[in-house]
Amino acid sequence: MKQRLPAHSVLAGREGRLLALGLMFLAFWSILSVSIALREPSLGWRFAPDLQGQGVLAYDPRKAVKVTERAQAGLRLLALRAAETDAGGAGRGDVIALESLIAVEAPSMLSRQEDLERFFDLQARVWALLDGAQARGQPVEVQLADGQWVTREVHPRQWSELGWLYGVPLLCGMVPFVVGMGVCAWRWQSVGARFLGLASVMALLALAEVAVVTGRLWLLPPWFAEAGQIFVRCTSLVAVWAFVMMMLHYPTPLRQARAWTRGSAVLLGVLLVLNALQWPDSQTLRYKLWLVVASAGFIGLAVWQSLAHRSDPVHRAAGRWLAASALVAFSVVIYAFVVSLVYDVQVVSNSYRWVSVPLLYIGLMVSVGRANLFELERWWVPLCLWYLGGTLVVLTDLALVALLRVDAGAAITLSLLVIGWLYFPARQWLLGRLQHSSRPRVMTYLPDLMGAVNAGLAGEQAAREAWRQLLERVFEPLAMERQPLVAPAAGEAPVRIDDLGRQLQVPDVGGEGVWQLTLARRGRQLFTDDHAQVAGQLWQLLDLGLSQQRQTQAAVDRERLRIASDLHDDLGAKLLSIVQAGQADGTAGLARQALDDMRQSVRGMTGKPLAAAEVLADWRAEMVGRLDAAGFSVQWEAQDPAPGLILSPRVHLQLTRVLREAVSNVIRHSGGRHCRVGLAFAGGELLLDVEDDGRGLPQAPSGAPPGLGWPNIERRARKLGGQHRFEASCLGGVRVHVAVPLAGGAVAGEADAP
Amino acid sequence: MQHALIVEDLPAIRDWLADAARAAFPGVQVTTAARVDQALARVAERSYDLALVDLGLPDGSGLDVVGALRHHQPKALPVVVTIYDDDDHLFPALQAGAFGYLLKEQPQETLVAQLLRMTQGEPPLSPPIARRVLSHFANSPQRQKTLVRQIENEVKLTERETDVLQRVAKGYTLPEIAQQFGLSRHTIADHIKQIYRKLNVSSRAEAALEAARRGLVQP
Repeated sequence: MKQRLPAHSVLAGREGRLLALGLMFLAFWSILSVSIALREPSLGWRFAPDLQGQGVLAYDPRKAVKVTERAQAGLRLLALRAAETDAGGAGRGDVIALESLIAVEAPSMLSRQEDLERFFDLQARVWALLDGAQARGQPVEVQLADGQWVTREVHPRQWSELGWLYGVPLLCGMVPFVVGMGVCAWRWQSVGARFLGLASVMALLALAEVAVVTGRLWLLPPWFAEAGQIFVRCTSLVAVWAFVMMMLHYPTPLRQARAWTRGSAVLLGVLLVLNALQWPDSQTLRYKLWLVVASAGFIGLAVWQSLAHRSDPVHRAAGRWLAASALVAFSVVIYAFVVSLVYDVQVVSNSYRWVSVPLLYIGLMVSVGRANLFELERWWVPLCLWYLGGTLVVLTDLALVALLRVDAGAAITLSLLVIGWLYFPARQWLLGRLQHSSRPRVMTYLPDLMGAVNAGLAGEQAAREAWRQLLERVFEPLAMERQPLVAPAAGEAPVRIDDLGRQLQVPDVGGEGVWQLTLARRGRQLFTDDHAQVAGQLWQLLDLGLSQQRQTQAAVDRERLRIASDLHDDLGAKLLSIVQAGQADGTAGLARQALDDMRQSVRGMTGKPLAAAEVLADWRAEMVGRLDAAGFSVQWEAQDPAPGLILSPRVHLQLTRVLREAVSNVIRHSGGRHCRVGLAFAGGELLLDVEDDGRGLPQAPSGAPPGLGWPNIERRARKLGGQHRFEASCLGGVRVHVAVPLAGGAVAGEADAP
Repeated sequence: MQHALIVEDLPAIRDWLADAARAAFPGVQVTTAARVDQALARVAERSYDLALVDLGLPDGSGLDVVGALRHHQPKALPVVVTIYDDDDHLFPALQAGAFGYLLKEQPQETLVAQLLRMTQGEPPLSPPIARRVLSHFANSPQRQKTLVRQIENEVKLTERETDVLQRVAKGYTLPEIAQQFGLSRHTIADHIKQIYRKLNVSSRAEAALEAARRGLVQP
C-alpha cells in the first residue's frame, strides 16, 4: 500500500479508532456467543439424528466423529424421562419420545414449517425437563435402543464440550470480520470497501449464531431458539445485500448505483420486517428466494463490472482476484455438495462448509487492497489452467462413480491417469506457447538496441530518440512521458515499477530524466517484474554501449587534437620560419598560404558542425572587412538559412576557401571599386555568387588566366559535388558562381545555441 | 609607448616581433623573455606599456604572463601573439585579460598596422568571439548572484554593449555598426574595450569563486 502509515500512528486517527472499535466488538460478541453456548444443560453427550431408524445418536463431544461413523461410535437413544424422585409426589412425569429431527444440525435444514414447529416444541419440552432436573440436582433417565432405561447426570455445559463444531463457524466469522474491518479502515473512501465492512460485520453476527446452533450438544436455550432463527436470517439478508452493493460500487460505481442502492435498501428493510414478524409462513418467499436473487445479482454485477473494466488492467486485475477467490470459495461448497450427492453420504458436518467464507474474504481483501500483489497478470493463465486441471480430475472421478458405478478407489486412480496423460501435456504446451509469446525477450530487441547505440554517434539527442522508440516497441505503452530525474535514492534500481504496476520508470539517456511508461500493451497489461527485468537489461546494455562509444570517441578526439597540435607546433613553426626568412625572395607568400592551408585542414579535422547562420556571419565579417579595407564598396546579400540548418565542417571549410579565393581575386585582379556577394539556399543547395565591376573576363580563350586561382575554386566545388561557373557579371566585371549540395555534407538538425 | 615586453621562445620570431614593435612605436625600449618564469621576473622588475606574448612557451602558457600583467600592471596592454586563430584558443586569452591577438604569419606591415590600431583603442572582435562573450554573460546570471555585490555591477553588460556584441556576432564590421548607431568609431571602440575588461573581471571573479568553493569542499 502506497500510503502505509508509520507504526506509531496505527492506533491514532480514524483508521485506528475504527480498528480498536472493531476489535472490542469482536471480543464482546465472541464472549456473548460462548456464554450462550455454555448455558445449555449437558448430559455429556453430543446428539445427532439416527439416520437408520427412530431416535437420536449420542456420542462423546470431545471426540471428532465422522458423520458416517457416529452410528458405531455412539449410543442409540429412543426416549427421555425424569428420574424417579424419593418423594414420589411428582411422579416420573411424561416420557418424551426422542424424534430424530430434534438433533438436526440446524433448524434451517427443516424445510416444512410444521417440522420446524415440532422441533421448537420438542426442544422446549426437553429443555424444561433437563433444566428442572438440573435445578433439583437429580439425574434423568434415557431409554436405549433395546428398551432399557439408564440414568444420566445433568450438568452445566463445559468448555471442553464446545468442540470443533462450535469453533469452526465462529472462526469462519471472525476472519472475515478482521479482514473487512481492515479493508474498511484503510480504504474508507471506497464505497465498495464500506459495503465489504458491513458484510463482514453481518458475517460475524450470523456465524456466531450458527456456531451456537450447529455446535450445540442437543438443545438450544428456549429464548434463543426462535429469536436466533430470525436473527441469522436478518443478518444473512443484510450480508448478501451488502455483497451485492459492493459489487455495484467496486471497482467503480456502475450507472445509477445510487438509485439502485436506495431502492434495494428499502426492499431489504421490508424483508427484515417480514422476517422479524415471521410472515408469511413460507420461508422460501421471505428468505430463501431473496438469497437466490442476491446471488444472481452478485454474479450479474460481477460480469457487468468486468465488462466495464475490460480495458483497464488495474481494475481488471482486481476483478480477476475477486473472481478467483469466489471461484475457490464456491468450489469448496460445490465440491462438498457434489461429493455427498454422488457418494450418497455426508462425510463431514455442514459446519465446515463455512470455511468458504474466510476464503472469499481473503480474496476480497487482496482485490480491494492490492490488486497486483502477486502479479496476477503473469500467473492468471496458469492459475486458470491449474484450476481447470483440478476440476477435471474431480469431475472425471465423480462421473466414473455416478455414471459407471466404478469403485471409489479405482475411480480416483483412473481419473488421475486419464487427466494426467491427456490434460497435463496439453496444458504444458499451451502454457509454454502463451508465456513464450507474451514475455518480452532481450534477444528479440538486440538489433534495435545496437541501432540505438549507433545513434549515439550522432549525439545524445539521437540516442535518446532511438531509446524512446525502442521502449515504445518493446512495451507498447499507453502513454510515455519524460520527467526530470528526482534525486535517486541510494541503491535504488534504475528501473522500477510504480503505482501497483500501472507505471514503469526507466532511465533516459544522459542521466537527467526518466521515462515514465504507463500500462503495457496499449493499456491492456500491468507492468510485472518480467517487464522491469527486461527494461533493466536493455538499459544496462545501452548504457554500456554508449559509454564504450563515448570512450572511443574521446580517444579519437584526443588523437585528432594531438595531431593538430603537432602540426601546429612542428610544421607550423617551420612554415613560420620560412615566412620570416622568405620576405625577400617571395617565398613568404607561398609559405603563408601553406600555413593557412594547414590551419584550415586542422580545423576541418577538429572542427564541429556549425549552424549555417553563424557561418554566414563569420563570412560576412571577414569578407566585408577585407573588401572594406581594400577600398571596395560591398553589397552583401545573404538569404537567412532555415533555422537549425547545420553545415558540416567539410562544407564549411571548402566554401570558406572558395569565398576567400574569389574575394582575393576581386581585390587583387578585378581593378573594380564595387563587389557584390550573394548567398542563397535553394533546392537543397547553397548558391554562392561573387561579382565585381572591374575589368571583366580575361580575353585569352585558352583557359583561365594564371594567378586567379580558378582551378582551386573548381576543384573545391567538385569535391563537394557541386557546380561552378565563371562568367561576365551584369555589374561589368566577373561573376563567380558556385552551387554545392547541402545534403551529404550538411546535417539538418538542431543547432547548438550560440 | 616607452617599454615593451616581448615573450617568445623562437629567437627569429622574437627578433621579428621586436622589429615590428620598434617600427610601430619608434624609440620604444624592448625587453625580451623566452620562458614564462623569465617573463614573470621581467614583469616584477619594471613596468611596461605593451606586452606581446606567445601562448605556447616551453615552461607553460603565455596566459600566465597575461594574467600577471593584468594583476600587477593594469596599465600595460597585453597582446597575444599566436599561430592559432580559432576561438577555442583566443577566448581563454581574452578571458585572461589579453586586449587583442596577432597572428604570427602576417606580413610585418600588417602587424604594425594592427598594433597601431589596437593601441589607439580598437581591439579586434570576430563574430565567434562575440558569440562566446554573449553566451558567457547570458549563462552566468546564476553565478553572478553569488558574486560580491560590487563586482556584480561591474561585470554586467550594458544594453548598448550587448547590442554591439549581437551585431558583431551577425557579421557586421565595426565601422558598419558605428554607422548604424550613428556613433563615432571611437565610441564603439570604447564599448568593446569595456566588454573586454568586463569579460576579464567576470572570469577572474568566477575563478576566485570556484577556488573558494573548492576550498570549502576540500579544506
